[in-house]
This record gives sequence, C-alpha cells and structure tokens, in this order.
Amino acid sequence: MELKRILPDRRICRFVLVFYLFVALLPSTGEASLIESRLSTGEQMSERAEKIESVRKALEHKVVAQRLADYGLTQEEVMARMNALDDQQLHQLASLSDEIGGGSTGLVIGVLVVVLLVILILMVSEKRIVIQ
Amino acid sequence: MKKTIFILFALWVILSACSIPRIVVLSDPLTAQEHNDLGVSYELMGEKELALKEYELAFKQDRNWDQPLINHGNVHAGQENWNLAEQSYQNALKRNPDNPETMNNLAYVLIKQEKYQEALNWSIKAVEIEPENPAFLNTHGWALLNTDHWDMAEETFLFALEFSQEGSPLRDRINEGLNQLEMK
Repeated sequence: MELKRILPDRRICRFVLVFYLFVALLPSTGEASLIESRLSTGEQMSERAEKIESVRKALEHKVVAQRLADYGLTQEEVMARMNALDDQQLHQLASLSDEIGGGSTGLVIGVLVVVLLVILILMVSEKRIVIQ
Repeated sequence: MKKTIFILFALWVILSACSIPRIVVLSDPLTAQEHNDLGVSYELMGEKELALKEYELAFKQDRNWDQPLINHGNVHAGQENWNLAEQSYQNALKRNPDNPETMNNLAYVLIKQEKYQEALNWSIKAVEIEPENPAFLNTHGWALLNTDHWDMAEETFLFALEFSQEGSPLRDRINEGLNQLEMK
C-alpha cells in the first residue's frame, strides 16, 4: 500500500516513457552551421558590418546617378539632384531604379495601347482580322 | 472620307492626350562584384528581396563566379526556402566544385530537408578539404548524428570543440549536438 503511494501512477510512467521515446526518435534537424555571405573581397558579412554601410551608399549613389543620366539629365543636373537627396531617398530611388519609367509594367501598358489602337481603327473602318 | 477624318481625329486625340512613348536604354553602372557587395549590404539590412535581386544580377553578369550564388542560397536559407537554397548551392558547385563552404551550406539545407544521407556525403567532402574547420565539423557531426553514426558523431563534435573558440555560438551548437547524443 505504501509502495503504491511512493511510486507514481503506472499510466503516468507509461506516458513519460512513450514521450521520451518519441522525443529521442525525432530527427534532429538542428544546429548545423551555415557559413554566412561574403563580400567580393572574401570578407564575411558580419566582419565588415560598418564598412558595408558606406559601400552601400557609394554603390546606390552610382546606380541612381546612372539612371538619371539614362533619362537624359546632364552631368550638372545629375550632380544637383544627387546633392539634394538624403540617405533614405537615395536608398528608395536605388531600390526602385529598375521600375522608374515603367519597367516591365510600362512595356505591357505600351503594348496594350497599341493593341487598343489597332482594334479601334479596325472597328471604325469596319474591317476584320480572321485567323484561319 | 468621313471615316478617314474620324480615324485621324481619334489618333490626334489619343496621341495628344498621352505623351509619345520614349525609348530609354538603361545601362548597368555596377560590376558583378559591386552587385554582390550591394546584395551583402541589403542582406545585412534585412532587405532580402533586394539582396536576392542584386545577387542575381551579379551571378548573371559573371558566369564563372560562385560567391553570388552562395550568397543567393544563404538568403533563401534565411527565409527557410530550403529547396531554392539547395538549387543555388548546387549551381554554385557547378561553377566551383571545390568550394568547401558551398558543400557545408548545401549539407545544412539538406539536413533541414531531412535528406540526411545526401547531407552526409557533402559534409564529408567539406571536412576532407578543411579538416580543422569547426563549423564544417559541426555540420558533419549533425549529419552523422542524423544518419545514426553516433560514435563517429561524438568523435566529430569533440574534435570540433578543440577548434572552436570559448564562448562562441558555434560552441553552443556543438554542445547541443553532444547533448542530443546523450539522449540516444
């Protein structure tokens, strides 16, 4: 009777045993090591955190200046615009630089406009295109 | 005649309503190395999509360089896109089959996908090239542990401890591996 009091319920023992087995059999996908990204110089990302910020600014400056020149601004105009930009604006412009002027969306809109024009002209001139 | 006039009028209205499209040729001012470095800075800032875009530009511009592909895989791994990360590392290995870091990272994502035998094969290769790299040894230890080579796993973890710095996060991971082994 006293032994029964000391030992926990059999059902609890079974539960703990099954739970332990289950945990032990679980695959440990765990704590392997992933080597972090490296700069072109071979330095690891975390080793050069401070330097990387200035690298980013310089490269974004280069990207935005090139885009402004692509859109027909003169060297002086580019300089004037660049000087007026703060870091946040520079970052936003650099990250959107492929989208400025439409990008792929602009191309789609252009094609749609041409298609609509062709359809309109065909409708007005009462002609049809038949695909056989 | 009326129709022609109407068409010309409609065209005039449409063309005057919107500006005539201009073709702008966008040139890329950055080299592959610069795209890669910009990608690293975005990755550090947590701008994962921008980082992926920059790495993609880098590895497309220089088709022999493997580092942007490894970094590309790292971003996917950080987002737990294991399959995409695996693809990037596999492509990096096609460019440079002897890079142990790529092998180690590939083993890492294979472990995450529970492809333990493949992970073990790559971790063995990484450790063969750099047998005293504690990070590679740790990954190898986990691959051994998950393929039920428990004695070898213990040996590898203990060996990794010898080369890891006191108090480093890597040391905690190695000890976690040893703890897991005690439960087996």
